[in-house]
Amino acid sequence: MTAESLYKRLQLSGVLVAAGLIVEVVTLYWGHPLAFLAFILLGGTLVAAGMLLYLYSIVSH
Amino acid sequence: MGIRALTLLDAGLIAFTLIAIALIVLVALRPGLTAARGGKVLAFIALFISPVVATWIGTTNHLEHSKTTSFCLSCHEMEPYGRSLRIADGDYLPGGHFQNNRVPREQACYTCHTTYTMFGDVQAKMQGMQHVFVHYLGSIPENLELYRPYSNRECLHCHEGARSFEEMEDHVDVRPELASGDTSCLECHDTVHDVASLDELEMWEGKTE
Repeated sequence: MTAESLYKRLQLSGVLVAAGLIVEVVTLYWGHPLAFLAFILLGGTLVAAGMLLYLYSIVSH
Repeated sequence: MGIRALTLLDAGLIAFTLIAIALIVLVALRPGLTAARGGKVLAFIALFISPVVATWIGTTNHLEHSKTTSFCLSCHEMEPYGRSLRIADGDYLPGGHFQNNRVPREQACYTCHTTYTMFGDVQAKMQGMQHVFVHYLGSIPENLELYRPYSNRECLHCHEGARSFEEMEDHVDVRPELASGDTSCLECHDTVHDVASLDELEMWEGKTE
């Protein structure tokens, strides 16, 4: 993998993790029973996808 | 859509998450930083360590919030059960416990309606998920009932060993049956949430949480 493609993957994983963390922060304000589901299903999935992409990128570089 | 009152811990978590996002933005805008050793460490902290920590603390935070009375009563199906905590008659078990601080008012529902076993917390959360599923995708029964008979274990978790329980004449003879579950506490203490009679009962006007 070239440095250029590694950087692109790092950027994509950064976008995914940041989006997930933003969702997680928003759900902390939301006093509704669905907040936890949004936190874990949406925020957690985005964060996990970003982290896995990051880990895959560095081990395959 | 309700807005939660944030605690100091919530504010700390939000600040931590915002710092994590700032680090992620830095790595995403300047990925060339990761060519150096320090940049690699920065990327690992931003893209792995900090999201894991934020998600872990956030999960704990949500689970703790889900134990609160206000959380349980945020579903309108639970509204009459919340009102029953204010029935001004000590013979009504929920009201008697709630108004006399026999259970923490901010976790009144959870204290009695969790199972005191190794995985009781997890079981309670799974049932909460089931409630959400039924609320949005199922049909809500007209008369709400417990999934299984109320266990004496939940009562004895607090009352066993208490002088007021142990020395009460009516309890002495049936203690073995209460411990084994052959006699339910609710056979005698049978006035529970009685939501059908709420409009006819006097209500306590004191503070709730």
